[in-house]
Amino acid sequence: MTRKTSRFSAFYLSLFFVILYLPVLSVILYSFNASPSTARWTGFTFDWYRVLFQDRVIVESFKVSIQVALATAVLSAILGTASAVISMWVTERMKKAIQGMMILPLLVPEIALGIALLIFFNALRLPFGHLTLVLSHSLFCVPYVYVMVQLRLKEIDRSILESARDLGATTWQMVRTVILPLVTPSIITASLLALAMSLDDVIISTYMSGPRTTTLPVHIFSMMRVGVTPKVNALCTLIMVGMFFIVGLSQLFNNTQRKEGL
Amino acid sequence: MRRQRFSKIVGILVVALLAITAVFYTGATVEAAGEINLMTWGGDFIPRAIIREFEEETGIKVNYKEVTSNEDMQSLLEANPGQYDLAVTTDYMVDILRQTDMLAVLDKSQLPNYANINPVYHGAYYDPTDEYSIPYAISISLLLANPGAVEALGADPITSYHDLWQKELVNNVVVVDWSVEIMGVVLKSLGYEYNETDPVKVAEAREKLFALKPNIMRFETNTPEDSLVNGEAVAGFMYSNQAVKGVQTKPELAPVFPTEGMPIFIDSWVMSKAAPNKDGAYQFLNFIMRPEIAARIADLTKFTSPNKAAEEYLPEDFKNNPMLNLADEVVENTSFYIGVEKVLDEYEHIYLEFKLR
Repeated sequence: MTRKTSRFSAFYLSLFFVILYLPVLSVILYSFNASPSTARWTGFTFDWYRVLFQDRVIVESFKVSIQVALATAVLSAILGTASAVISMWVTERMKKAIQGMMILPLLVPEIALGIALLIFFNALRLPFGHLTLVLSHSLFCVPYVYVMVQLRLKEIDRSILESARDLGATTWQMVRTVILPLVTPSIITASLLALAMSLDDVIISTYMSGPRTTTLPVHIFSMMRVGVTPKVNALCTLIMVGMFFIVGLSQLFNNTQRKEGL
Repeated sequence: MRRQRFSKIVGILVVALLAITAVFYTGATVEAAGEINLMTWGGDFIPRAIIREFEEETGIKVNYKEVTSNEDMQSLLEANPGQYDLAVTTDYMVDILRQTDMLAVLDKSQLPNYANINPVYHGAYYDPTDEYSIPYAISISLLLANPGAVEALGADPITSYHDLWQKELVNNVVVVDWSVEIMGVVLKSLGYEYNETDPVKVAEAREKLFALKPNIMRFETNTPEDSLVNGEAVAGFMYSNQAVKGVQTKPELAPVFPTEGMPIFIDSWVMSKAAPNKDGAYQFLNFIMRPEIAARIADLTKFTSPNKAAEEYLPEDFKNNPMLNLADEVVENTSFYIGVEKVLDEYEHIYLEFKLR
């Protein structure tokens, strides 16, 4: 009986993953197709990858995306962690308020957020470019860091903090020597998530990038009018490989941390 | 151990902060005097090679902002009219921007090359007096057919939308998957205009649309031409760039300009009313309307050029391709989708019923 169920669940799971990953695999496959049409397979080629690296706009916008994503990951890690740690010491009511304010940017439709930020930054006379991109991306990345760090903080044994206090640690010392090391794995996982989300964003980036800066996803989406060439398949393949690498890295990091017995 | 890790984190944070400041610093450079900012579709819609030539010739730097929709261009322009000099936007958006007073009236005395624009594109509904816009890239929708296969099925040759209803073509027609386009095909086949609102005519179109169902083998917006290339379909309604690709891959395929008329899409240059560098913008517009430059743009982007004088500079294969080098008679038989927002709900509803049959 149990054998039967496990076989069924194995079948179900494989079906699930096949359906989930088959389209992804087809993109990888077609990035090596000599013909620009997806109707026919005319032979194996690396040409699209060559064309891809010669495309200056793609390379430039990729650079912008990476710069913005890294800065966003760092900024949202700092802000998210700080607010999570601070909310350990505030009243229950205040904590609820902070939580509500944190989740809000995730509930507002991106397009509304984009236009609101456009008008706001415009009124502040901020130059549109890297700065506005990083600030706006952090806006929707901070909540994730906050939630993930907060979950970890809840798991911390209060008695550790009390003994630190008994031994004469100031609040800052406590944060520095006890709390931060305990939540570091969560911070790192969360910043990797922020990195991925920033790399992914199209709508807000459209509004926040200046006349000189274009991020990669905006560039790809804006190609719709002209038509997407197979070099985009090649690009997607590379991005996916990169993403698997980042996700794998964060998993690995989490696992080693767990094994260290935290 | 913990202490070490902590100082490591602090180190990482400091480096990152420095990186952020460095990034911000480069992002905040003041706009130089000799710059123009233009905004439009991305990819190579305005070929980078052409932009570089303009920069080398005039010393004016061109910043190319890529956007994903006409509505994005509208919001960006409205929020910050002084940020952009030029935009290329689709017909209906020119109309909206013109009516919301976002656009500058173009001074034709600064645009001697405007004379190269084919008069057949003058006086479109979105800019009846041609004061605000200059056409740039043109495409149409049309039928693509495999005449040999149509004959083999025993059907009459396809020359009009009406021919798609022949019962011999059962399960042999591919169409792009958009309600307004497909309703447009039906309305035109009945001799009506696009985006008809008269309930009697719409009801008639609905019945005729439902009668087309057995012939449809696929709804496909991205690569409808592939169905003809594979031989799964013998006729299809699609955008001209897709039909061009289809004929390239399979020369037996032939374009059909339906006798009832076709939809046309024109992307046009417009200038922001608050453009910071109007002089540079005029120089740019004049540059891209030079015949040989316009010809190269057409060849690079594979869009029809409105530039009449460019024709002699077009490469042979472009010039001889009736889908790219549109004849004036074809253009005269086209019309725009006007007032989509008024019919969209109704058409979507009918279209859904049609697809579920």
